[in-house]
Amino acid sequence: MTPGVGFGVPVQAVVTVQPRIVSTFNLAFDNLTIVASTAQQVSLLIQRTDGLQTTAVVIYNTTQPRQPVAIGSLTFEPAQPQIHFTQIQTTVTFNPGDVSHLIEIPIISVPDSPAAFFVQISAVGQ
Amino acid sequence: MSVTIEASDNPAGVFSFLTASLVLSENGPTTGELEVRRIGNLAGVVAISWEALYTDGEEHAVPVDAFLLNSRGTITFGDNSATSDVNIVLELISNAVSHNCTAQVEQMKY
Repeated sequence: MTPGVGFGVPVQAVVTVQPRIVSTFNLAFDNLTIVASTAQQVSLLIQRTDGLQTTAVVIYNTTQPRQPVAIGSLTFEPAQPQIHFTQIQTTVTFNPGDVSHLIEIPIISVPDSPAAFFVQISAVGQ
Repeated sequence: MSVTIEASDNPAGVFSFLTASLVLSENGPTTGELEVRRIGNLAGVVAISWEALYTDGEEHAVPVDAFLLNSRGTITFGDNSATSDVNIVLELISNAVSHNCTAQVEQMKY
């Protein structure tokens, strides 16, 4: 040590570093329109931000709207579960580093008029 | 009989951290400051370098500068000044922290 400068107490400061343990999830699109006569399934991307270094589980499920859904100037009747779309509830796991996962919802049949169903996602136990 | 005054062992002062610990978290706060104080002889301009290292002194697969934006630097004390021009500022790199860990910031003579 070069003479002239002394170091008192404390000469070291301890820095504790903690990772983010909560991830944020969202679907890539708020609304998605498909033509049921040609599409056999709907592919949706679940995106993750924050807490990318952790393992996280997301539940996703399909539900029937309780009333017609208005999107812009268009109105869609509630699609029928197990008739028009597959009613499912399952999970997808995001491993450390995963930023997105593609999920697929099978389409069963074509409705008589434009119809809509919901896909919901929620994080498990963060 | 003569009186002799010995030269000071620390003519440029004694330096220490004002606070001994700091917690940074990706949940917040992601930045923090460490203040260094100079006591004793305040004469002269002195530059002190500092570095953040893992507390265990071991080599790690992830270096400290992978998750700390600035893991080393220099602070300067002006003539007759007990405080440095700037504090030591530590900032986490977003989404770079994989697990709890501790680092220590050491002062080294520049």
